[in-house]
Amino acid sequence: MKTIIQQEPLHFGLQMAYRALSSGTTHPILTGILLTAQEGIIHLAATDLEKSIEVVIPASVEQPGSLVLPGREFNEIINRIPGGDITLSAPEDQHQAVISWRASEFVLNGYPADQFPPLPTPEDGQSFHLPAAALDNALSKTVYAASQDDSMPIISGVRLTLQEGMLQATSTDGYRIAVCDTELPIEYPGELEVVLPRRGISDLLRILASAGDDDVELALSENHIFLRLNTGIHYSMVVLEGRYPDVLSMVPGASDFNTHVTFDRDEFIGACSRTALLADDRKGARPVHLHIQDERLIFKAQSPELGEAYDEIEAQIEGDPLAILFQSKYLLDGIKHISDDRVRFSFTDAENAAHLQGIDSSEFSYIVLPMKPRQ
Amino acid sequence: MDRLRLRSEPERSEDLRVIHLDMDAFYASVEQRDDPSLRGRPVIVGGTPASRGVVATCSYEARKFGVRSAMPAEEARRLCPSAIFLPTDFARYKQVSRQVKDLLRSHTQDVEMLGLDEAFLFVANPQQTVAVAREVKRDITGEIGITCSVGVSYARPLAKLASEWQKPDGFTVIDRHLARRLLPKVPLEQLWGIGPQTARTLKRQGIETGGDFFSTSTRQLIKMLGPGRAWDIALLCAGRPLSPRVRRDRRAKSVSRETTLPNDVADPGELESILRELVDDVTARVEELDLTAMTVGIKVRYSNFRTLTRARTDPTPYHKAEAIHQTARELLGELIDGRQTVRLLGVTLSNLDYPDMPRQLGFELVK
Repeated sequence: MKTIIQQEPLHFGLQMAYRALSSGTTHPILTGILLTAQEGIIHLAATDLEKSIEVVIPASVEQPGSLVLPGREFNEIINRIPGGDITLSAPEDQHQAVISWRASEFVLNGYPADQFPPLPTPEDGQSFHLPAAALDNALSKTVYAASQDDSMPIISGVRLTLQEGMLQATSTDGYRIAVCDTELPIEYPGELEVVLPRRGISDLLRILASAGDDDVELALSENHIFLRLNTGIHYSMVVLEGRYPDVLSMVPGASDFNTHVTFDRDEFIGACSRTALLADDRKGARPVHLHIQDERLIFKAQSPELGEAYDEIEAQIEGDPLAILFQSKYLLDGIKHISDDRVRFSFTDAENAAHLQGIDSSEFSYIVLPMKPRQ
Repeated sequence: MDRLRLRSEPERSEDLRVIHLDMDAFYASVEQRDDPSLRGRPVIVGGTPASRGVVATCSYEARKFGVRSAMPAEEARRLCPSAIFLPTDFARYKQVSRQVKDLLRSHTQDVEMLGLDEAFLFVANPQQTVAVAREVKRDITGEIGITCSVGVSYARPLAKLASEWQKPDGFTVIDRHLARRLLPKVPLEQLWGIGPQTARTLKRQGIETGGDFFSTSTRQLIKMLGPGRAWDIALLCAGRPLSPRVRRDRRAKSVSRETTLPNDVADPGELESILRELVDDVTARVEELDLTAMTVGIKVRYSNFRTLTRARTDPTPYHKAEAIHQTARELLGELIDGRQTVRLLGVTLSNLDYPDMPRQLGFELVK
């Protein structure tokens, strides 16, 4: 193998591929990046057997070939080269690459390409396009509410559906539900129902960020979802299997609510996060009491050790006064993902799910269950 | 040489607010109270020499012979051949302990039990503390029928030092003046808050008293203890311990106890009996805090210093001491084989459930 490649695209490609590398103790091959030089391109691939990233970058290839290089060191070397042309060469059957740039030369030991696991490929046929920004938005607004423990694996992912031009992302950890609906322009047909694992999504979001206003192409196989970006990045991950619970049936309807309160988003975030500083942190829940009365929303918290906190913000109230208790993190998680300046919080009573939504857009809904005081 | 120095202390009005009460030889005293034929005789509660058990508590008559808690029963028999060995009747001691607690609560609401046989009492008006302490001592002796030693002071560690000052049946008041006089001479291991490990570390460097502590260089103290612990002990040795508003173990994440055995032990029966004592102790402490545990863990250090731990979590909190015993015994069974000798045994109850914490409601995802 012999090729000349510019530092900048190679660096970008390695940064992307690096995300799929297996961390911790693992097989050395899984900490490596597969490098394949073909006519006019270099192909980089990394996988931890659950997700994989492939990046195609243009290069002038004098002699094709492939091998696996240790991902961290390869990435660090290219990262420390400021720019310009880099020559990569690997003598046949040596499992070693020589990386040269000006007077620098690195002989980096690698592994034979045939030991690298085969990457999954989409089944022929169905694939469709989505605006990358819409997918990014849907996943960012829901992924944090997916379950973090493995007692019920299916809810550790985000359910993504596409139906009649509506892209919907749903997540829950059993205590709150986040739903993001995005209406797609007419030129995006397609149908989809899949549950993406939480861990894969965080990598995917970083990759989607590189796509800007481009489209992303989606395809499925039995166990995987595949995403292709115009930037030459292919991403695949194993999807979660199982029946996703019908969480939408647990979302209260408009007629269930007895109290609505409307307030400024940033004021709420400020008051809630300040109050939570002195909340009882014994179980990490940091409960904050909300009192809704007299055109005010009052926040109270107290910790036996630290002391207590009080705050209030102006609010428009419709319906009954209410006192209710929430984990402050759950409130803040939800409201931070609302993009409107004003937010409406609707309640049935102190023991049922409450609903948080921006005042102008109904795209994002957040449903959260309160805490119940004991005794 | 730079030494730890404290800021000068402002003049404080007399503030004796803390009473420490320690039941004398509690288990043995309960036995002697309930069986008059045992009174005046050396009584040892715990394991028997035959079962290779250890002494849990012994009466003052036995202590005269040199018998001590945690000593192998066999050694106790050698020191005191006339001793009467009795098995631990934990349920009964617990019942007496509850009576003690109720009695204490009738004197002041603010009572912190420490295990079954010790308590701190807090009195709002410092003018009344000594009088309350005398009443408590009189009532315990009169109504429970067991003597106790009582200490009065202005902070927990000093009250505890006071109750240990004269035992059994003692009554000691340590005010700020007396504390300042005593503390430079008190052996550090007698101060509540300095454990045997720390005391040993300090002793190796010739630091045995508060006086020694303050004449040691700051640098050396920090090297031995770290800055936080060094300052903690400095405040304690100056008689000005930091008194938290809330008792620290009310917020405990876990309650544990471990003990290094006087001699290495391989016999499962003997290890089980030591484990039983430890479990009784941690269970009582968790119960006293009105908490329940969901996880029981044990720790075994073998003679070669290899240390293994095992833990089991039950989704329903362990309410019954018997269930905790059962789990601990099963976990111990996984770690011992009757051949490997053990030098340390420990028990931890964790994953505590706070009954006053609100509970997060959940959706029913599986129908």
